[in-house]
Amino acid sequence: MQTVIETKSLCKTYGRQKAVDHVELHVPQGSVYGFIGPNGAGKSTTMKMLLGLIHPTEGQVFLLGQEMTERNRLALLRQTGSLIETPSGYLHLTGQENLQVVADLKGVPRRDIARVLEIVDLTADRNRKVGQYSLGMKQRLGIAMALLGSPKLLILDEPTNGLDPAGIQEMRDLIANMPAATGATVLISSHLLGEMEQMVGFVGILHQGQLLFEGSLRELQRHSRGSFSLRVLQPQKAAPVLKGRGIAPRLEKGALTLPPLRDEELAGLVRAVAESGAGVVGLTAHSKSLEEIFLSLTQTQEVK
Amino acid sequence: MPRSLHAEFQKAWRRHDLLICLLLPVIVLLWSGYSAPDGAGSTVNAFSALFYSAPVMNAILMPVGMAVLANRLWDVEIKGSFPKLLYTLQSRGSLFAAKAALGFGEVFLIAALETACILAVGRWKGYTEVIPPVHILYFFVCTLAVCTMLFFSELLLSVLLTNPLPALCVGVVGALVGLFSAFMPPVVSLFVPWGYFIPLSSFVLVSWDADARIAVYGMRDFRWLLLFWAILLAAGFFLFTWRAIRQKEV
Repeated sequence: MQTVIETKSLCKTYGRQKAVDHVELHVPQGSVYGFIGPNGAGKSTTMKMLLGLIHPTEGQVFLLGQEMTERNRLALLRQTGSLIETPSGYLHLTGQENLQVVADLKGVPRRDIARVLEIVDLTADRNRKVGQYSLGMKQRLGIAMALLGSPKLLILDEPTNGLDPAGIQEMRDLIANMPAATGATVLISSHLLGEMEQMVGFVGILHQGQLLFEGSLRELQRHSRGSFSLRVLQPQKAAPVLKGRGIAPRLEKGALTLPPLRDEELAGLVRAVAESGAGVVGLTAHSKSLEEIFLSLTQTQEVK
Repeated sequence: MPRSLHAEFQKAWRRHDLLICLLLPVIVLLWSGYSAPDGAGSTVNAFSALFYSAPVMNAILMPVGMAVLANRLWDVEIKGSFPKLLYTLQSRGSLFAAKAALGFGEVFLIAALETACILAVGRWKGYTEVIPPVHILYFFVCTLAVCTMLFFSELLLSVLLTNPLPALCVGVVGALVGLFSAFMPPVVSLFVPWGYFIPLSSFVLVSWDADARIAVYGMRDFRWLLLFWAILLAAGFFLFTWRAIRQKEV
């Protein structure tokens, strides 16, 4: 698997505080990679180091297969689009004029502006001053700036911040479809864990500057299997069987809630309940939400 | 660099910087035109009177004017949250160079327009006094040097403090201190860079007859050392501003 972003032992220290602590990222080509962590975990600092905005105390950054140095930084970043923290926009200029400034600095033909405005649905507002834009429109303008020149890599730091639910959904769809629509690899950070599940294929979890987990979303969910709901016709018959196997079942909304179990254990348990004459109607597996997984990871720090 | 400078011109669109550049000389023109001696026969020193009063007006106007220009130049990036994006598109060096070039261009325009305005007022009023061109050139260079020094000192403050208010306050206070320093012992004015326009001036008031209300103006030697010091200060602020932009993390 080819990586578009790779870091080796990336560190950033402010005084005695380690903001980023030996982070090793591997962002696969053509993926949407979710960089997750609570506020102050070091996500923005890491992203700024990826863009060369701040210098690492230690470690290396590889972008698009090349080690980033002061000499090749701008050449590499011309193939990259970014939106870090707050969206940029000269308030006294229109959306179109802002994009012209960025397009000219990037060396991108101005005809590309119409394409990116269309993607972020700002064509109708292109001639309004950015000072009159809502936060959602500014965020979309920021994405449009990042998309100019069809970059191979997009680095987006909490792009849904401050958006209303409809705006979040729009942004989510836009980002999730980005690899298919433009071929770009997307690195996106957020502390809103739930929304990441709907966008990303790969996940990196950062906590207090350390990468706790990195892998596919499926791997993470498999890694932290959730509970099961067992629907039976006669719960009073099923309960002794479960207790006999050391499981204390809870009856919730007409179903017995079972703790996370391995496949073999679960198969044996269901067979025993069925043989007891309880009448098995259905079994539902619940994946842990990313929130729950994240909490368990940050509490135990066992994974990785 | 050409690409960065072009971007600065694009950003200056609708920011009305050119209006400020025109406004400053126009205020000087109106002020000096109002107080200038009338008619060719009123005084043989009429032109000298104009060149004598211009540095005083500069000491009042330019510290504030330079603070406004420098602030607008940098504040546009801060208000637009642009540095984080800009530094991925261009080097810090090219951003600073473009801003410094545009800023110096604006200062140059102000100094040139002001000098031209003074000459125009004299022509309009029919003054017959002949000012040696070298004195006119010296006036222009001094105005340019002190304005450039003030511009880069204000740009440095804007970059360091991010908030535009302190830099503007320094401009206003500088204008007052600079003006008052002109009425203190000459040595005091050497320690107040905002008012350097006045000690650098080559036009002096030779005598003033309060009863007859007759003022006689003259010329004195150029103060090369002070001019060199002002240029040195401008270069120092230029370098410190470059250092601040290079080192500031975003």
